[in-house]
Amino acid sequence: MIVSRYTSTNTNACNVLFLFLILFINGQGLIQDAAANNGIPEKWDRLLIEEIPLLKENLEGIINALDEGNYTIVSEQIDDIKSGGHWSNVRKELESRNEADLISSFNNSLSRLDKLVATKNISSIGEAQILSKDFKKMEQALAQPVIDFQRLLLIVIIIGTLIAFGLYIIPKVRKKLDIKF
Amino acid sequence: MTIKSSKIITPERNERRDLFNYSLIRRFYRSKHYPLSLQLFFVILLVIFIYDGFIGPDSSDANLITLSLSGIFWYPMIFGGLFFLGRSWCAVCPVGAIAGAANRFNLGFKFPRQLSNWGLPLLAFIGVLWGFREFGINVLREPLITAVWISGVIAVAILVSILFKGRVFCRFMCPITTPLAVMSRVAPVEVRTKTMATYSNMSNKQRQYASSNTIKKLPLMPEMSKADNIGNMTSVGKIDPTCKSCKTHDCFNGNEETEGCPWGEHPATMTNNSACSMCMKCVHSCPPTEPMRLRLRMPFSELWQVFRPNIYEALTIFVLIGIFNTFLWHETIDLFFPGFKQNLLDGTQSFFPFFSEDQVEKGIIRYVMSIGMVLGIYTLASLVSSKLSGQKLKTNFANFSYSYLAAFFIYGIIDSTFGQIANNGGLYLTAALHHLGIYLYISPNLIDLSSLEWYSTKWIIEAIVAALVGGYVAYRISQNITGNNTKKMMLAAAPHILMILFLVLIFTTIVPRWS
Repeated sequence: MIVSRYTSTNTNACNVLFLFLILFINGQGLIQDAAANNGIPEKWDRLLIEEIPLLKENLEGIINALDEGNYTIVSEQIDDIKSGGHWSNVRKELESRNEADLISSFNNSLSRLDKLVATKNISSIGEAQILSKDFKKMEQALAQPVIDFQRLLLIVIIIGTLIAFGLYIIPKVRKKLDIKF
Repeated sequence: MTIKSSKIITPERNERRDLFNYSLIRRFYRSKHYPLSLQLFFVILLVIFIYDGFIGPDSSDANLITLSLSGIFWYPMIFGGLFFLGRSWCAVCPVGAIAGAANRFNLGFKFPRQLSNWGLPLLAFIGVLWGFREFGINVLREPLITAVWISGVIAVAILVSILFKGRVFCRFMCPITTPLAVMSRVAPVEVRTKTMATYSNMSNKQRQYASSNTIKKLPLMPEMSKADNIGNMTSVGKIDPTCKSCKTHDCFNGNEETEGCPWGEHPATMTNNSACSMCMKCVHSCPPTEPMRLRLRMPFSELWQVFRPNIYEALTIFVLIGIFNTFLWHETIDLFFPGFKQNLLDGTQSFFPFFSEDQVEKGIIRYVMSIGMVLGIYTLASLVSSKLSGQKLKTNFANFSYSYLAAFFIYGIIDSTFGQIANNGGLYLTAALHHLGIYLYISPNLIDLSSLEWYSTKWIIEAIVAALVGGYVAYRISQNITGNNTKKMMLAAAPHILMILFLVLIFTTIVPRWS
């Protein structure tokens, strides 16, 4: 009977996957404990889909305001970058990727621009463009993938196990209740 | 006039186009794990998405439920997938799977015949998926609302499946069943029997008869008894001899191991893809050497080989075109009839005093008027076409709607699917990979569609291909319904070809320039 053929295959696959899952969950717990003891910094939101567009908006605001000679808006935008959580999140992500050079370069450009804007210096336009280039470099760095193999494997194993379990259990239920799937 | 021999599809040519000749495809589709394993996968995903919808991030760009529904799944998988595999999504749909499982324990009530049509799903599609968003209920872009909506859909699916016999929810209640049903006809694959009714080996008289909307409908409906359904099997076309002599009709009735067609279709008489999800239950229940085939065919060819054209399906096509092109109303009406929009708005709002002017305009009037405009334009073309060619308006109206569907599909798939991927692909990719543990940031705009280069390329594909394909389908339909009488054929096709050209130009060229 076709069902029995699949059932026997699934039983083995299911057992193996369950074993992997149990080992993996335990293993991951140990790794997390070790990481906490070694002083790895607190977690941050690595999904930067809101932060980067906001930073980009600030930079565009700075450039547009400088074109119009409106230094008040430029100052507001700079303050927004400095105090807003979005730059803090991006910085943490860059720190985790060991991109300290990019952070210091962006920070330096930002403080130079801040000083120039405070004195309403005309060369602030050039500085804003440097800031914009620094931001593009950061974007390029963030486009490089960092893979959390533990998480990836855990997801694959959990979903795989659930499917294998479903394929194992459904024919049994079908047979038991005498219904067709 | 007889049909050229080169056009006749011989059994040998048909056999060569059977995708089951390829072992990988055969093994995949004939496996007992298909579609169950994929259904399980999507049920698990759906549970995760709903969970994220209730407790996950508030941002629709970060929450899995909104991200998947309005982005990853809808455009590339469901809408884009229609072009290659018809409504295969329905075979693996998690809601359908849950409904299917619940249906095993049904109480056996018959679904009312009055509701056994596309009225309810169309209403849900227009009202809930589109109209409600203007009243602050956006079921596609608000995580919590989306989660509640999907949970509600699942609850209704379970309830309906427990109460009634057959896959009632998928056929007559699912909000996306109508767009999937009409658009699945464009797919280049079909599940059919070895011998089947085709236009290519029919005489001109047979073609005219088959494309006439007076043809007796095949009542293969779940609410009818199986004996009645099987009894009506031979009402159209060629029936495969194996199916004729078959005593059990397992593909339709099911057997000990596999259920019959969940859509209540008999493969031997199935002439279109609109109620075939390629779940392969018929293939599983029929012995491997027997007549079931997964055949390649020319994309869009089903649109001019419609055996049972009906007004209802034609109306559905124009409701869809109207919904997807509501800007037609917005952008054009004030140009042609200044002041009309405001007067209509004032009049309508008195019926809906609880809603703001903007809500009434965007949530009610623009949909109704946009659908009305598209339908009006098409009725006018049908009227001219039927007068010129001496046909019945009903036949003309029902048949030629499929040529507009072809043009709309190309325009829609490029504008919506390609446009959505180009504009937000980076966002979807970043968020989806993030949940898998792959951290990176890709700019949302994968392609800058505002650049002249891309705009021109998109326009060429959208406008030219849509008009050409729509026009060609109209020509082929005209050929079938006029029995190859050249003069009548030209007179019947011309108004529709011109109208397709007009609509395509408005949709692709004039409106984007205004907006």
